Amino acid sequence: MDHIYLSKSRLLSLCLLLLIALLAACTPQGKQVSLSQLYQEMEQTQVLPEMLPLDAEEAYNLIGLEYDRLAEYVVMISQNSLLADEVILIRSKDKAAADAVYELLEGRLDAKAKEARNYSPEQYAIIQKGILKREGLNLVLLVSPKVEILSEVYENNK
Amino acid sequence: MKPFFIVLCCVIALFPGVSYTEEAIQLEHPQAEVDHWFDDALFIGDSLTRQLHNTVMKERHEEKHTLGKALMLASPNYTIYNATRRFSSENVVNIQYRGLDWSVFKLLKDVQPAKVFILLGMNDGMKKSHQHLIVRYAKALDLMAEAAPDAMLVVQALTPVTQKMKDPLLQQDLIDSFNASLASMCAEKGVYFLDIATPLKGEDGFLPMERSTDQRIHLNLEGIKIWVDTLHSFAQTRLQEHD
Repeated sequence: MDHIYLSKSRLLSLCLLLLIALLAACTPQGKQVSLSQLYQEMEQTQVLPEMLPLDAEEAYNLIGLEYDRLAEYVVMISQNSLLADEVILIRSKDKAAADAVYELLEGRLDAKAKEARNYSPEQYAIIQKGILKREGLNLVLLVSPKVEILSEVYENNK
Repeated sequence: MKPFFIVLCCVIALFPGVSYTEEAIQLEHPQAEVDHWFDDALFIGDSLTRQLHNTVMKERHEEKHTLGKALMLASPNYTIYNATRRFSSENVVNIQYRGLDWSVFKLLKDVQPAKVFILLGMNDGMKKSHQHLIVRYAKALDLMAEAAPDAMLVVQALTPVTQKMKDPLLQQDLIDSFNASLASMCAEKGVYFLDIATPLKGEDGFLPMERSTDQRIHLNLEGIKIWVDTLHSFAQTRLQEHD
């Protein structure tokens, strides 16, 4: 009789394990949103002015970003150079690249603030509210009069 | 007589690029060549240069080669004084390039452009007596020549302002006077002076409202295009000099 009891409990444990494994396999994995899709969502909020993408040469000359160290990127500045609006979304290839990019984006924000401080108090106030975040290999720089709206889009798609 | 005219028309048809003026016949270089003349050029300036840069970047994205691969670096509040500094500093306005602060001197030493186009002065403010600014500008040019001895230096005139400009330090008559002094200084130094101001002015001698984004000082797309045309004409002349 004991022998039969042990077999049943072992059978039950095995079934439970199988059930857990099955559930885990069926649960959909979190899908990473592409940065271009994320930027499209930000565009759809209509808080951004006409923006201009920076190509590899411009991004390197203006900000120091090296696109070949990045897995994915969206780098947009305002077409109207008198506006501070900027959206930079980055997925680095590795930690070293992410470290370097963070430093560059920090410098970028500082430089924008320094330029605007005496020149355009209105744009300076906008830059001061700018958001720079790093989460692992992902980095984001957002400058906008409605930065909280762009930030919400970013947070909702993490 | 008739055969002579037929032959003459054939000759004219064979050479479409020739402009017939009373002066010497000169071949016009094609637009692509004129734009690529700027490939080794560096533009240094303030918010106006930044406006030029953003417009040019947009056109380059649209597969136009406006001003070739010219490097344009500007800081909105850059002054003639800033351009006289050998080194960058935390306490002054610097040029941002590749994520770092640069002085114009250090930038030119590093980049060694073949041509340097400079537009500075609006942030310095124009007064009736502007001799100190001219002296400073001359010092900045000396520094640039030291940093990049083989570069062609081209000083651009300050652009006009609209009639609505109320800032007493940016009145059109003072800007005109400054430009005249700047032109004289450039002639003495043997440096090119490019009058980008006159083509931008209306008949009243001011920047027309329809060429300005802010109805005061900054240029809209129409204004920028006029500026680019003036740069193209300058390049065309330089290319023809080489012919």
